[in-house]
Amino acid sequence: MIYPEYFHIDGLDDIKKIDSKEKKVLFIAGGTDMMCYLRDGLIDAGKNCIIDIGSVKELYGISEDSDYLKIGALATFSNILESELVKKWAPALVSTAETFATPQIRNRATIGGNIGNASPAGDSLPPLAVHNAKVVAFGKNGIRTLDIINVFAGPKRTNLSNGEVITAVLIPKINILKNFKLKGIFLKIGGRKTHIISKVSVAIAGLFNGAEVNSINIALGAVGPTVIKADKVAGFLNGKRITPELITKCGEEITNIACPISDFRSTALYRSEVIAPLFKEAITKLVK
Amino acid sequence: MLNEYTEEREIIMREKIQFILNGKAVEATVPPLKTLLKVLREDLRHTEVKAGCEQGECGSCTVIIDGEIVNSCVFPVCQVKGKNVTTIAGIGSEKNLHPIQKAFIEEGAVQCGFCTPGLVLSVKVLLDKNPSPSEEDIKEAISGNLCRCTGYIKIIEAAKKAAKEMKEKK
Repeated sequence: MIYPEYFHIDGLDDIKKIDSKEKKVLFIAGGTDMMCYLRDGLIDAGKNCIIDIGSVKELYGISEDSDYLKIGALATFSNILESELVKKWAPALVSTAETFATPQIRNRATIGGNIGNASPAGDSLPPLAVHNAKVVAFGKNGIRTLDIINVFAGPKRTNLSNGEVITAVLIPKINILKNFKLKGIFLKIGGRKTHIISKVSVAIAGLFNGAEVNSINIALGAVGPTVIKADKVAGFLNGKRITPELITKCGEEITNIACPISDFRSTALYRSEVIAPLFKEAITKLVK
Repeated sequence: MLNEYTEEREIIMREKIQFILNGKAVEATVPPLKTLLKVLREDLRHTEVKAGCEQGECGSCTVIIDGEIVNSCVFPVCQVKGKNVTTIAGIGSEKNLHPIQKAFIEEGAVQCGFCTPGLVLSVKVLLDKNPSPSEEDIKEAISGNLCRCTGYIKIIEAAKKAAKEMKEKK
């Protein structure tokens, strides 16, 4: 096996020192995707180099300030699952972590890696979208912050420039209205209960007071080239009491905005058929 | 880091990787992106770690690193430096079986045996954290380990039995 050139860094500034010789820079964090790509020969050693960011301490940890919940790029899905802060400010992301892959993968797979991999079926992307997450990236030109939706250029492609690395995810702390509670959920359909990659997925987050909703966001996964944020549907619901009629109306619109493809995991027809019922199930669970 | 040239004149970097394996300091000079699984099996001859799917699906290659289960097949060896790795050989031996291993044998939770090392380690970490797991807890803990022989029922029974016996011993 021919391995790509490998660099190990201890601090972010070291990225600037690496002469990548006009190669495409790939960052390895937990390795749960990257090691599969290497094994399958998908990484051309002549054209790519790999930078190991596993020792960069500033990329670990989950913290908060007055405005944001900050999740370090190297936070694993196990870290997310165990975090009281994430539970409080990003419940849909906790919901994702509960069903994410397997315990073994959750101990290694990172939030930064799931974003960087940019899979249309990436399970962290719909919950990040419904929590209005921002992605912090560091590169040769310094630090910039992108809305999660703007990170993706297409399936497996991001708008990050070569050598730019995701350092953290920021989730704005929502203003919780009186009598309302911040709730979130992520549901997916797959071939079995655990260790599946989503055929379709739905995330919802918002403020709930019984059936009354506010500041709601809805995002759909695996039914488009990247995560789809259903803002029009959220508009139907905001400030309203949720009724079965309203849910049906939202379901119809969700079927309209989904643009799934057929691939080895499922068919476009199946995905179109199940996305609205999955949304109904999710919103019903939140209203309960 | 020293560089070697292969016949194709491609650079293969090798690095000295040191870590603790089953309580003993070990080292291997290997490509840093080689999988921990391959280093354990090929370089350190720890063939008790099983190579199944080699893509993080089946859990046969499960090892414990610093108290948590991971798939060694998708673990780059460069990230194991200084860490504590436990394989099935680190928790019991033929003459001195771990209570979980005993329970697996007694309950008939082993058929072909290929998935067993990984399953025993997943159960071990569960019981280390939660000595009285519910059936759901057990199912969740072993959800990353595929077994194509037993149908899981006997594995779950073995985990329950091990939990009971380990609690009584304490």
